Amino acid sequence: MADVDAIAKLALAGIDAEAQAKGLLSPSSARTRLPFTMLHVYASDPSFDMSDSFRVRLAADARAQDDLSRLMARTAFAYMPRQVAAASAASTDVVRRETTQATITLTPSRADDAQVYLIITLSDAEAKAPTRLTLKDRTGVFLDFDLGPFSAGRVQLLLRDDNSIVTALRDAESEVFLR
Amino acid sequence: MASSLHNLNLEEGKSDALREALACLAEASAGDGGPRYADRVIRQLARVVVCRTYARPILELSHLLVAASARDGRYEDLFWGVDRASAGAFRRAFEAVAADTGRVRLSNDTVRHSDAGDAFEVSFSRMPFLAALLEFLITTLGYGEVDELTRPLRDGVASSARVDETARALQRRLYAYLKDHLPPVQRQRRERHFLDYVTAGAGNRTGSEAIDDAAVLSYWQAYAASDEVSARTYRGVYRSALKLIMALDAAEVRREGVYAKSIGTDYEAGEVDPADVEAVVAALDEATGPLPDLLDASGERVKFINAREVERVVDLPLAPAAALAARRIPVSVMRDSVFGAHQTRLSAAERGDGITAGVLQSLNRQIDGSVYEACFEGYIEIAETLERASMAALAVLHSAGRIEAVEIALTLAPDLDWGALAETAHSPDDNVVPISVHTAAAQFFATKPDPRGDELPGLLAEARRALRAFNRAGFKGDVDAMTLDAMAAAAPYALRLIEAIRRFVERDLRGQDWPALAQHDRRVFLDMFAALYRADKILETEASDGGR
Repeated sequence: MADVDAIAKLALAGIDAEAQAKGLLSPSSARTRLPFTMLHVYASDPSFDMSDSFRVRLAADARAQDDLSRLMARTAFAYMPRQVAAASAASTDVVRRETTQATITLTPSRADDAQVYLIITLSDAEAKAPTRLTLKDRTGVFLDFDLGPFSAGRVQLLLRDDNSIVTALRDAESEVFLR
Repeated sequence: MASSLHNLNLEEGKSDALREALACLAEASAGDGGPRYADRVIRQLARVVVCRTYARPILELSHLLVAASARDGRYEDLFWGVDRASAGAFRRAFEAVAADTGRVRLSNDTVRHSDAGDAFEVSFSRMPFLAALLEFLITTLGYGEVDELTRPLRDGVASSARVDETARALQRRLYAYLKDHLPPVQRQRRERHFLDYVTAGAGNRTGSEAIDDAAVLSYWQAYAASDEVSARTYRGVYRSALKLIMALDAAEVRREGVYAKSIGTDYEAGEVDPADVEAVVAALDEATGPLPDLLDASGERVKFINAREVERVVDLPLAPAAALAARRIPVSVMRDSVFGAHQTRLSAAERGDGITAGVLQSLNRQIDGSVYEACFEGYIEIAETLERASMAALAVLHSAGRIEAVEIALTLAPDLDWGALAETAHSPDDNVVPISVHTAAAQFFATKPDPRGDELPGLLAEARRALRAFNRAGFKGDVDAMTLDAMAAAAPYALRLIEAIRRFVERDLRGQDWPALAQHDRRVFLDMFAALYRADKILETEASDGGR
């Protein structure tokens, strides 16, 4: 027969711990963070569109932004991190971002000052082409842009100069993902 | 004062982060919108966090991460490639990994990586919890940090020493996080006070043996109106008593194993082993049992039991551990069901529009000498309804060729000649009849319902009749595939619930003079309610108001 006091002590410790666990599982008034599961769904499926509530919660959750950025860097076809200050300072009207998988350039249209060409060239023209360009801007907002079909490893799009994607691409602080 | 309020807010803020992390996991959803992690997994995680018994689970997780990374290092794709965290889903995922790489080996129930010298196997049934633990670590520590800490498991050969070292690093980080975020333990005052009370009056009875029906009632009578402890409701006192019995029993089982343990905890010095505490907390998990399992499995698609019926049985101790504890205090269970429920309504009225003479008079009318027996009849009616639902489910699942129909048929009609199914497949000349499950199942599903037949054809005809007469969601019209899945998953729990209700009413509640108890309890409880809710004053006031 085990010691009665020790049994009571253990039983009461269990009851205290159960109350504590229940307290942790009770509904909290605190804002619920974005589950990593949802971040993974977005990161692994380029066709997945963020809902408005997803976007709002992500914008308010710096940790989730970092997690998503890191996760996408692992899963994306190509990842282009923030550019170094020198590159930023040397920027001209032509923007160029390059990795071993792809090169992205922004070139002003000669025909219309208000338009630019976004050109993406894959290093391996036979590779399965990405379908979406995603940017994380300096404020942590994620911007998605659907790409058209690639031809011989290249896609060219004409965009307005004030398009948010163009603005973000020009900012050296933006991170770029081809997915 | 300002400073202590400030500190209090800081403390709450810290524990809010931990609550938020657990809520975040509970919110994680599968592709069909249902939860990714089962409730019990989240509760298990909360227990491990509170008891700080995460060392071994983190070691298991570290080994599992090696196996999950074996293909291309992308452990995330395996863990989150699984839509709903279930043993079956992880089994399928690891089967695919094992087919692609020789670094992972599977057995019937487990997976292991071949990097470590000693085989460290992780069972598929453990994986939903370990997946939740990984998501919890990522939510609390950050994906970047977890990814960095676990890098040694992906770079090169993951020897046992390397896995141990990584696990220890994760454990240290979680320890540091919990040190900052886990709120201090609150001592549960009522349970301590109640245990002292019953122990003082129990003579040579000790532990859970000291708790009986008389003690529960007398404690409530003594302290319901006291400021010394919060014991105003009978239900609260009864639940404390039931919880104490369960905790004391679980603690005794754990302590009896003390001498088998070798090192680690100094029991002589009064230390409590966190693993023992976790085992006691697990025993108290009230959200287990056939009713929650049935509701989880059937969801809104299939109504084996409706809301009114749930309300009547939800507070009965039907989960195995609770049912065992309740056998010590059967009268208290019924007192709670009848008078505890009435008091809940009185308390609600008191908080709302106030208790009126009408409320009290209605209470008086509802409680008579047959109140307990009427309750039992109500429970049996619910069991009978569940039997009709199960019979209807048998008809649906048999028509659909679902194997779950076999368990329902075996449970509802254990006396049928089931051997006939196997025998018909073999020559009568055979001396030995090999039992072929496959053949028997084929025979089972080939059998046609026949109202004039006996044995299985008769049972199936009865099931058809039950289906025609059972007019609840999931049993009407054409049954789609998801409804069929829900019905098949829920049916075993419905059978267990029937068994639990019948065992409770027909076995555990036997041996009491319920009519006499009802007369006695009516007087005791109405007197207590009158004192607690100032019934005499209410009646007096309303009489004088009405007289004006």
